[in-house]
Amino acid sequence: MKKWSFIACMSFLNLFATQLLAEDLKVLTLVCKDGIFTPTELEAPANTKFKLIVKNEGSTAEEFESQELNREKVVAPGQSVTIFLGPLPAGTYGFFGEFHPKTAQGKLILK
Amino acid sequence: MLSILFIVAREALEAVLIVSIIAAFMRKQQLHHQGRVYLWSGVFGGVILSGVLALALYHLSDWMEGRGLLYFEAGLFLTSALLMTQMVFWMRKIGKRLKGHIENDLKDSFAQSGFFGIAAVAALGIGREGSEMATYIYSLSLSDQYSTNAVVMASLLGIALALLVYRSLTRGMSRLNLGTFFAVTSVFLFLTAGALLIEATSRLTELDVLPSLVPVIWNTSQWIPPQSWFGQILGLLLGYKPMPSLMMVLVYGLYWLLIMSLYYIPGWRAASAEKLRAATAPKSLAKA
Repeated sequence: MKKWSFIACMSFLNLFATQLLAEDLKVLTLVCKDGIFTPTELEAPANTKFKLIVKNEGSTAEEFESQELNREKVVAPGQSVTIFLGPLPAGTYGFFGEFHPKTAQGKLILK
Repeated sequence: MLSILFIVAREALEAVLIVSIIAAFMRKQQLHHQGRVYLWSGVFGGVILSGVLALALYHLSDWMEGRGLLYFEAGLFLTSALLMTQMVFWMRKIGKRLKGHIENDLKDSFAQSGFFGIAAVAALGIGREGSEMATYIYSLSLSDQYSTNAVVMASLLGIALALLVYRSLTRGMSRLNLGTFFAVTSVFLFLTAGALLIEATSRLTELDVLPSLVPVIWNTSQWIPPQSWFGQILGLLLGYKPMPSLMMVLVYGLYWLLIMSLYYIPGWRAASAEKLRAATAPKSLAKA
């Protein structure tokens, strides 16, 4: 039992260590403001890991959602969230704002 | 106005489904007197959890660069999935016990622990969906776009709509015979737990705790678009993902393999053994 918890703790720490070292990720920024995403098209390299920061500059909450990217994240007004993405194959991945589905639409193009 | 109502009702639906299954089960088994306190304290706990989670979204979204909340969510999803699975096993077991003893002894620890499980499943189910709802409603009521009154009205109507669904579901399910009720709800609860495991896998992959193995193993977004009504229903009930990773598929498959070997196959064996006994019993009586 003790041995197992020791192994679990070590692998957990190891995980943090590798993550702290691997912080050189490309960063994309997406701004949402009361149901509008800017820009509506984002580009990123395929097959690499990158970070997408979603900033909410509006006065209402938004939920960044993408079934294609398997991500779903609520952003409170005035806040920003970081979404870790990739490595993903080249292609076009749609996303939308769940709280403003009619107007908040965008896509991420990986090349 | 109408869109607020629908978003609130939809966010509430999954939680409502789970709570109404628990309520209908307890009513069928005549457990609702003992279990009521547990169920409603679970619901109350869920409402508080929603508020706490919504506050965390406002104030802790930068915590560990956003990783803190991801770990938290992954933990929440895993716990919910485990507890929900355990609850189905408990429901079947307690159902058998009740059949055995007419005068039921529900003071024992097995029944008690099950009631705590029920409270926890209700609390986690409501907290999970409710936190999004709380963030949404709270921010809308603060914004200039809508008047606070309109937001409050629409949210109350949305919650009322969800309660209406709850009432008709509980009533409708109470009418089903126990076998059918159990077959349908246990599948639903297992499916929901499986969908939660997929969500947890997605968070853990994002955190690099689990590898995705193959990022996109297949793509059905052309056939069943996730935003279509059919795709949304599949997403709600089955955790449908149009572009899953290999890891998600493996986790989901493994979960169902476990459920089959621990729950369904022993259940079928027991059922056929009982049938056999019932079929041979009269013969042996005749011989004697």
